[in-house]
Amino acid sequence: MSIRQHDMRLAPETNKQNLSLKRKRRIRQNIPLFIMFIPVLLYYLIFKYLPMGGLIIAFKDYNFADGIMGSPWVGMQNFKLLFRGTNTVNIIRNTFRLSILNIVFGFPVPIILAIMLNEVRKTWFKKSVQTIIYLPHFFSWVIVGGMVISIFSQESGIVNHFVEMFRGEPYPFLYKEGSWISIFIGSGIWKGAGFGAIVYLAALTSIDMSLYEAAHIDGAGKWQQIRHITLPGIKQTIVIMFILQTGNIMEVGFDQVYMLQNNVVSGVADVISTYVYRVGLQGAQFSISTAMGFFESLVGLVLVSASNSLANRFDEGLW
Amino acid sequence: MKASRGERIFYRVNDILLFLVGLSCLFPILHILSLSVSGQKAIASGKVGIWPVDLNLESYSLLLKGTPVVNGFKNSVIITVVGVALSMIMTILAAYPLSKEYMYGRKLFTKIVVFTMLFGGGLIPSYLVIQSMGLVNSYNALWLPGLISTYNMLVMKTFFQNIPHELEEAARIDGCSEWRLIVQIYLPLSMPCIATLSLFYGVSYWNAFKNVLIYINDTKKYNLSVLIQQMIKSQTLLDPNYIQVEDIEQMTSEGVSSAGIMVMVIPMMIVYPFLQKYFVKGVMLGSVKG
Amino acid sequence: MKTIHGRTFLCLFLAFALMASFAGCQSSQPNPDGGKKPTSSKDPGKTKERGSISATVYDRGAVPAAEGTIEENRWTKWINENGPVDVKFVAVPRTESGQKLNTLFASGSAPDLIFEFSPSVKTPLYDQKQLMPIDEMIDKYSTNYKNLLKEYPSLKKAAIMPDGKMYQFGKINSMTPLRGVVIRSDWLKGLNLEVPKTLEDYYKVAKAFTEQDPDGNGKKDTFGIAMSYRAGETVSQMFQVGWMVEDGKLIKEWDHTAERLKFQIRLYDEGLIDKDYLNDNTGARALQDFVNGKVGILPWLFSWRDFTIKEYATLKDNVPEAKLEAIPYPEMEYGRFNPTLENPVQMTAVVNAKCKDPKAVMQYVDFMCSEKAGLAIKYGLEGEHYKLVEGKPVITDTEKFKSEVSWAGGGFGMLMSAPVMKPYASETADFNLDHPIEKEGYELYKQAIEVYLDPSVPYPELTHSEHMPQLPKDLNVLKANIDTDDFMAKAVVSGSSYTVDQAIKDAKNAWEKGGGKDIEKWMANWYDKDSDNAFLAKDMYEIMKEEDLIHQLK
Repeated sequence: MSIRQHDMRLAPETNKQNLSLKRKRRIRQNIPLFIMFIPVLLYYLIFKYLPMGGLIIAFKDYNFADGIMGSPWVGMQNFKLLFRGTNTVNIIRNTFRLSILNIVFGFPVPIILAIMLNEVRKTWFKKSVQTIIYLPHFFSWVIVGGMVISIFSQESGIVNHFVEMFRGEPYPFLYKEGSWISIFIGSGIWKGAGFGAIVYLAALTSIDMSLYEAAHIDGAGKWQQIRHITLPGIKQTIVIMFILQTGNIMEVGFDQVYMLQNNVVSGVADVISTYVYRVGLQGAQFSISTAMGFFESLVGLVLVSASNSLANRFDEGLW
Repeated sequence: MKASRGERIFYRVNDILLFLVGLSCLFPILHILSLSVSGQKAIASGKVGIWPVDLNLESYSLLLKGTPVVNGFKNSVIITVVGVALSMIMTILAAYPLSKEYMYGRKLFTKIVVFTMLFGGGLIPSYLVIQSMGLVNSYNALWLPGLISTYNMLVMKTFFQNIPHELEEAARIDGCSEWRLIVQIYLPLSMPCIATLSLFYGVSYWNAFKNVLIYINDTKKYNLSVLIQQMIKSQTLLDPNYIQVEDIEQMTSEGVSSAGIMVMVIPMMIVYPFLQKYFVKGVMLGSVKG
Repeated sequence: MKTIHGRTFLCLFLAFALMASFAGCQSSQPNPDGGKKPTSSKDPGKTKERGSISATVYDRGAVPAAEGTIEENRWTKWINENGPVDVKFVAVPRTESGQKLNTLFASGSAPDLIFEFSPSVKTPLYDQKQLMPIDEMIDKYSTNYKNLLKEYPSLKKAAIMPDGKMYQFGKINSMTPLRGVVIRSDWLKGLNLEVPKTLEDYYKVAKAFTEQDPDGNGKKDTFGIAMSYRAGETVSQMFQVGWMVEDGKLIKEWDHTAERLKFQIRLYDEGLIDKDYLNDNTGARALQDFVNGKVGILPWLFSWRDFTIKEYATLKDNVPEAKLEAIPYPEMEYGRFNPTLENPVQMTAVVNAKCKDPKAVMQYVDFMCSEKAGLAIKYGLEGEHYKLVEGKPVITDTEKFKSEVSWAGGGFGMLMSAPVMKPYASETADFNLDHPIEKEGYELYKQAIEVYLDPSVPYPELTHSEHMPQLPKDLNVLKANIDTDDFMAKAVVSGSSYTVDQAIKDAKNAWEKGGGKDIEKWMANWYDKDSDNAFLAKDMYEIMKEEDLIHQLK
C-alpha cells in the first residue's frame, strides 16, 4: 500500500511514532470487533465446550446412578472392546472407502451443477431447475432408499428391464459389491448435489462480470472462460468446502446405509454408524458410542489439519 | 453481446443436460405427491407410480383432522423463523471479526471454533447443560445450542474476506464507523451469502427432529418433523421382537404419511425461489467502480 | 510460531479443563424433577390427602387433534377424577422410547412410573440401579394387584430380576398367535392340492403355485411363498433356529440353520420366491405382491383383525375369489412347532428408584388394573359410547367411539389383564360379523387359534423374546460385531459358487473368532442357574391349558 511505502522514507523516530500510532489504531479497530465477538465466545464456551467435558465418558464405565463425574474410570477399555471385534477393521475400512469415493466423485458435482446453472440464460428455467434439483435433499432415505431399491430390483426394476433385453436375464445390482457401492455413491450424489450447489451459486455471483466481457472480446471460448475466470473466482469457496468435508470423513450417513444395505453386501456396506446402532440398540451403551465418536473426531481433526496445511500452501487455509 | 456458434451449442447442451437432471429429481416428488392423493387400496397394492390412482383428498383430510399436524406446522414456523433470525445475527457477529486480518488472536479463535465442529460431548452432557439452565421443554433449548453453525459461519467468513479491501478503506477515509461499515457496505454486498445461510439455517430448524424429541416433553410443542417422522417410522422400523397389537393397529397408512411429507416439503419448494432473487450477479461490480 | 503454537495448546487445554470441571459441578447438583408435579402430600398428619405421581404414556401420534394430546385428554381427566391419586403424564414417543427414557433417567428427571415393553430398555435401567423393587409396596399397600398375583403367580415369576426381587408390574393377555402361515386355499383347490404338511409338501406346493399358473391368467407371474422381512423370520421359526435345549443343556445349534439355508436356496434357485427379498427391508414388496394376488403362501406376523380389515380386504378387492386358510408350520424331521404367541404374561411397568410416594404408585396400579378402569379405557363411558346388552358392552356410535375411545387402550391399558375384563370380552374377539370381510376374517382367526394354540406342539424358542435374558454389556458389543447372516445370504444368491457347507463353516468360524463361545457359555450358565426363575415356554403352555385365557369364541 502506498501509505506504508511513504512511511519507510521518513526518519527513524517518526517511524517509531508511526508504528505505535499504528498499534493504537489497530487496538482501536479491534474494540468493536471484540464487542461483537464476546457473545460469540460465550456461546461457544457454554454450549460447545462445556458439554465437551462429557467426552470423558469414553474413558469411563458410565452409569446413571454415578453420573458423569462419579462413574468409574476404565481407561482405554471401551476402545479395546470396540476394536477387539474381528469385524471392526472391515467396518472402519468400509467407512473410509465409501467416504473417500464420495469425496472423489461427489465433491465436483455440485460445483459443476452450479456452473452449469450459472450459464442458463432464461431466468424462469434457471429458477425452476434450481428449485427442483435441491428437493431430493429433503426426502429422507426411508423414502428415497425404497425408490432406489425398486429401480434396481431384479424382478420388476426399470434398469433390469433394459438389461434383460440385452443380456437375457436380470443383473443383481444390489447383491454384487461393486454395483452396490456404485449405486450407493451415485444415489447419494444425486440426492445431495442440488442442495450442495447452492453455496457455489452464491459464490458465483461475486465474480466480476466485466472479466467475462473482456475475455469474450479477447476471443476466449466458454471452456477457457470457465477455466480462467469462473473457477478461480470461486476458489476460496471450493477450498473451504473441501476442508470441511474432510472433517466429515468418518460420517457415512446411517439412514442411507440402513435403507440400502442387505445381508449379501454387508462385507462392504457395514459401516461405523450401523455398527454403533447395533451396539447401542441393546441398551444404554453410552460409553461405547462416545468412545467411537471420540475416535471419529480424532480422525476428522487429523484430516482437517492436514487439508488446511495443504490449503495454506496456496494461501487459502482456514488458519 | 451476441453469442458465437460455439457458445450457442454450449448453451443448448447445457440446457438439455440440466433438463434431464431436473427430470430425474422430479420423480420422487411426483411419486410422493401421487401417493398422497391416491386411494388407500391402490396404495396398498403398489399401483401408484408417478401418477395418482383413484384421485381423492382423503389422506389430507385424515391428516388434518386426525393428527395434530396443524399445531405442528405452527410450531415449526415459530421455531424456524425465530431460529433463523437469532442464528443469522450471531453468525454475522462471529464471521465479521474473524474475517478481519487485523483482529488479535484471529487464528487462535478460528481454531477454537473449528475444534467444536469436530469434537462434541454427545447427547447426555448437552442435555445436562440445557437442563441446568432450566431450558428443558422450552424452544430455547432448540435455539440456544443451535445459534451458530460453525460450518455456516466459516462460509460467511469466506464471503466477507472476498469483499475488496478498497471499499473498506474508502469508507474509513470518509470517516465511517464500524457499525455503519457493516450495515451499509458489508451486509448489502453479502446478500447472496445471507440468503444462502438463511436457507441453510431455515432448513435445519424446519427439519429439527432429534433435538425436539429429546428436549421437548409436551406433545403440544412438537414440531412437524417429529410428527411426520413418527408416522413414517411406525410403519416400518419397530423392532419385530417387541411389536404389540396396538402398534399395528395405530400404524399410519402410507397415504397419510405421504400427505405429511408433502406438507413438510411444500414450504421448502416455496421459500427457495423467493430467496433466489438475492443471487444476483454483479452486485460488487458497481460498488467498486463507483 | 513455536510460542504461538504452545500458547494455543495451553489455552485450549485450560479451556477444556475448566469446562470439564464446570460439567462436574453441574452434574452433581441436585437436579430438579422434570415436568411439573402437582403438590404432593408430604404432611404425615393428613392421612386423607391424595397422593400424586408422574407416569409415562406412549405417544403413537394417534390422538385426534380435537381430543387434545396423549398426556392431556378426556381420559387423563377421567383417571384423575375417578382414580385414587393425581397423575401427571409424560409423553414418550413409541418409536423412540429408549432414547427418551434414557435421557430422562440420565438427567434425573424421569417420572415415577415408567411404562415400557422392551426389556432392552428396562434391563439396563435395572443394571444401573435406577429402579425400585416393588415387593414391599405390593405387600403393604396393594389390593387388586395382590389378588391378581395370587391367581397368576407367573406374574410374580416374570417380574423377578437377577437379585431375586420383583421389579415389574404386568398384565395377563389372552392367548393369541402372533405369527402364522396363511395360504391361498382357492389356489390349492384349483390345482387339486392338499394342504401342505411336511417341509417337502411346502416345497411342492410352492413350486406348483409358481409354475402352474394358479390364478389362471396365462402369465407366469406368481410366487409360491414370501420370504422377505417378517416372512423370513417366520420361516426361521419353522426350523427352530438358534438356541435350543439338548440333554438339559442350552446350546447354539447349526444343523437347523443349515436346513433352513438349504430350503431357502432351493426356493431361490428355482425362482419360487421373489429374488429381491433380501432388499425388502420393510416387507412392503411382499405384502404388496400378496394383496395383488401374486403370492400363494404368506408366513407373517399377524394382528388378525387388523390383517382382515387391511390386507385381506385389499386382496378381496383385487381378487374377489381369493380364500385364505391358516395352516400349521411344516413338519421337520425333528418335529413341528408352534408360532410366536402373544406374550401371555407381559411385563409393562417399572418404578423409578427415586420415586417419593410408592404408596401412591401402588394405588394407581391397583386402580388401572381394576374392572372399572378397564371398562372405561376399552369401551368408553356407559350411555355415551356403549350400552350394556346382556352384560356385554355394545358400541352405540362407532364414529364417536373411533374418535374418542379407540386410541385410549394403547396408551392407558398397559395394566389391563384379560381375565379381569373377561365378563365383557366380545365373543367374537372384536370382529364385527356384520361386515362380510370381517366375517371371513373371523373364520380365519378361529382357525388360527385352533391350529396354533396346541399345547401338544412344542414352542420353537426357549421363551417369548420379552422374557429372554439380556446379555451383559461387553458380550453385547461382541455380539453386535459378529455377523453370521451375511454368509447365509451370500449362499442363497451365489448359487453353486458358495455352498451351504461353506456358509455354515464360515459362519461358525466368524462366531467363534468373534467371541461367540463366551456368549454360549454365558447363556448355558444362565440356563443352568437362573432359568428356573425365568418365565419360559413351559410356563406359557401352563397358561395355555387354562380355558380362561383362550377367547371363548362362538
